[in-house]
Amino acid sequence: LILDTREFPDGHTLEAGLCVVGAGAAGITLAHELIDSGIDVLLLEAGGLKPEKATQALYAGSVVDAALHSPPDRYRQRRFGGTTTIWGGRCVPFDEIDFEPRDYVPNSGWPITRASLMPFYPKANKLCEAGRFAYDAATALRAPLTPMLTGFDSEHFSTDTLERFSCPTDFGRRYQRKLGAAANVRVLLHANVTAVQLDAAGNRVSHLSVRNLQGKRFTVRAPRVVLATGGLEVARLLLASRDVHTAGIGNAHDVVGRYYMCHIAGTIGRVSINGALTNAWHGYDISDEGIYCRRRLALRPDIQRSRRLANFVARLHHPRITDPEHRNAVLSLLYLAKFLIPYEYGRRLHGGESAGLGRWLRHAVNVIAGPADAAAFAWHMLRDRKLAERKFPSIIIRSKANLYSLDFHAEQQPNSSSRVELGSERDALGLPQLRIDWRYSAGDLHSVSQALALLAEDFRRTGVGRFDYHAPAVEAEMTRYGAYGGHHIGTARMGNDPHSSVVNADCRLHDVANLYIAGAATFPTSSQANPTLTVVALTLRLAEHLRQQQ
Amino acid sequence: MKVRVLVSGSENFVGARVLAALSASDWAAPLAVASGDVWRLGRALAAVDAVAHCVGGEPGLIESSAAALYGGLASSCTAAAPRVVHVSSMTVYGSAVGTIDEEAEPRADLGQYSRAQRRAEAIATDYRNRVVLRPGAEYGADCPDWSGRVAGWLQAFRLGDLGAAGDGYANLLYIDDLVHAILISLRQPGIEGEIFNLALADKPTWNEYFSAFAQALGAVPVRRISHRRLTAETRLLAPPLKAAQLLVRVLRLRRLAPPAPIPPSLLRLCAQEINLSVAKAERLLGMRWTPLAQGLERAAQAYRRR
Repeated sequence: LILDTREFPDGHTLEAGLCVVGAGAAGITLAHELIDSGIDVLLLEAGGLKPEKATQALYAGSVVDAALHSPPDRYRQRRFGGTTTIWGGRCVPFDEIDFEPRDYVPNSGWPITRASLMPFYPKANKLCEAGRFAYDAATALRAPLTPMLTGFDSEHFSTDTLERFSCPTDFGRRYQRKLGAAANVRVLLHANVTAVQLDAAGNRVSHLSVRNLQGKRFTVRAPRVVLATGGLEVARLLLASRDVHTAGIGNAHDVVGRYYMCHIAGTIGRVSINGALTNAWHGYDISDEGIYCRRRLALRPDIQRSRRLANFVARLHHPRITDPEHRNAVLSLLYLAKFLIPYEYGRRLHGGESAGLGRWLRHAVNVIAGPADAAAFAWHMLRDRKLAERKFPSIIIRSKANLYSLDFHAEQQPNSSSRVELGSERDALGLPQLRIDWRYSAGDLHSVSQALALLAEDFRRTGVGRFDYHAPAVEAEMTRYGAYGGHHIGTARMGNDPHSSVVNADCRLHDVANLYIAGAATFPTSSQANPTLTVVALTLRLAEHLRQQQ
Repeated sequence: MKVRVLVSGSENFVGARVLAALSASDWAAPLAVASGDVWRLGRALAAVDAVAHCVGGEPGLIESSAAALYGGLASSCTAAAPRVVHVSSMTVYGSAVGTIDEEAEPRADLGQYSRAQRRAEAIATDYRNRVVLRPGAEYGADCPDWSGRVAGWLQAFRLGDLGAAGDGYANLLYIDDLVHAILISLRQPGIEGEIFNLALADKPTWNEYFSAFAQALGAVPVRRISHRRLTAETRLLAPPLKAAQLLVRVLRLRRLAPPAPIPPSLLRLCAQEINLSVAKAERLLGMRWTPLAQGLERAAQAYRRR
């Protein structure tokens, strides 16, 4: 059943067996998994089925350093489907090492192992429409494969692990019909939770206060509540619910909102490959199931341990688009068409660099010089991305000169001074806005720098080619576009010790018996992997726990 | 002495297999009657001990053959009423959703075929020594609808992963399992008047079926079919293709056969979340189901060749 608060009378009270707040990847997964479970599920969604400006504005807030973090109302969507309505679809499981306590990564270690999450990954893959849970090239792809880098035999980096791509699946559109038809699930749109109300003792949720933008107020009562509102909004709701615990719910030890992580990402240097053009393959392979897969350079776990480095992956990438020196018609076309590209993706295309008329003209000259390439690319993007339901995941430009740049995506180390907190401004519903103070650490810079140095050494040693970069520029490059957008991790971290974590291994708040968190807020560390697949897997694990507790 | 079994509908893919299985057995002496020879049913009944009624296809034929069969049985003078195994269809449940067992009231609201099957069952109601089988989608080598037709669509990349449109349960039944159920039902005592659903117990979704079958056929990579394209196939392309098919049939121009249209009913079925309960067939008939991977591989072997 899909309902809307706008059709309810003011002051209405709803009751349910389980209330899930937020209909994004986690909330929809949870409700979907509990279909026919016998649990009366109420899924609250702040937005509607379509984007709405006024609703999206409720995400507004401030950032301490605008160069380091995008505004809080970017890279996330307050609507049915949540941020899956705009995500890129990259699915990668966390590695075993990500769950381990590592003395060289401060505050690392999960209270669960990868093995305990493994039973849920295959179904998570399915829900994300990323095919089989097969993340190495030999298992997932049909041989013979073009080598990623011919002759690249490295003890530091593997080239056989994969990232797989979702359609990208908009969980709202994809699962709306199933949720709407489920007898035990009610979806309630335009239901903004403004406070989690605890009982007088402060160790159980009594009810949720809900409002809509038409001014109506509602109450939701449920014996169990799951917050699935994303890494930023979870912290906001916990911190803003201060009627019993003055520091906010679950925040007796000042942990909520801290350890805020994204990913350390950037594009750097120049990779020149020796020999034939076929010596490098940086594009997508398609599995028999029709899934786009891509191999990458992954820092091996034993090297991470022995060199005391955080997790790290890299891919061959096209030269920086903004610089017309690449003389590539396709890249210049992308530059000139940047206004057609959504903010979340365009940022890394034109990321804040000023564009004078001279630069525009030089890009235009590049396009004019290569009309056939530009037209072929435009057709490819129209057919395989714009019109396709399973979209070609990203821009792949084959270099005719065997020249690339290096795109890296690294783990950000958990750091208590990187945090989100409540600001002084309030939104239209009276909830304090967020203030984001994202910070990276010397450890992050060290890890990325060392991994890049190892990679350069491997290119040189194997004779595959050269990777040249300006080592002192690593910090500038890894922060050129700020924190990797859309990955909001760690603000209600999981752990065994209430002094250093917010939820326990079951994703339940240490000190609130009936309140759970679903999503990347609970991740103690960030891995090299994008979070969505693990968000879904961990939510499936939570669903099993909730069923068993029923 | 062998059991004399009349197989009606002996020319279709179910009847032909039943006939072959009976012929190969050491206990049955089969007698074949084709669907078009309905008029022969009445006379043939005098000399049989059991009937495997496998007539399918055209709605009119389904009803008229049932009328001929049960009418003939009512007027025949045999001492013992022969056992009739009446092969019906899950389509009698129509648009029902959820877990459906044999007690569910048939809705028969999905077109002529489902109504015809329901009416044929109704004609059989008064005949006590009958067993009604309601199979799901029969697949396997030489199964024209759920293997042959689907293989063609997959190989032409007109079908594949349908997204939300393919989330319904595929109540698949491997053809040999249906034949096995018919043979058991012909002889098993104590099941007179019973109805049995027949399908895989552990059902894939239609998306899973199409994807697995396409891969078994080598029709890869499996395509994601957009809602826009499905609508075009079923609403715009299907009517002229159907008309062309009829024209080719009338003019006997088989070499010019057009591609098979994808009917709107297929999309309706692929989204329908009907889960046939088969516990009763497992309990009373001892049915065990051919694993999907095994059945698919056999089906793919047949259709890869073509």
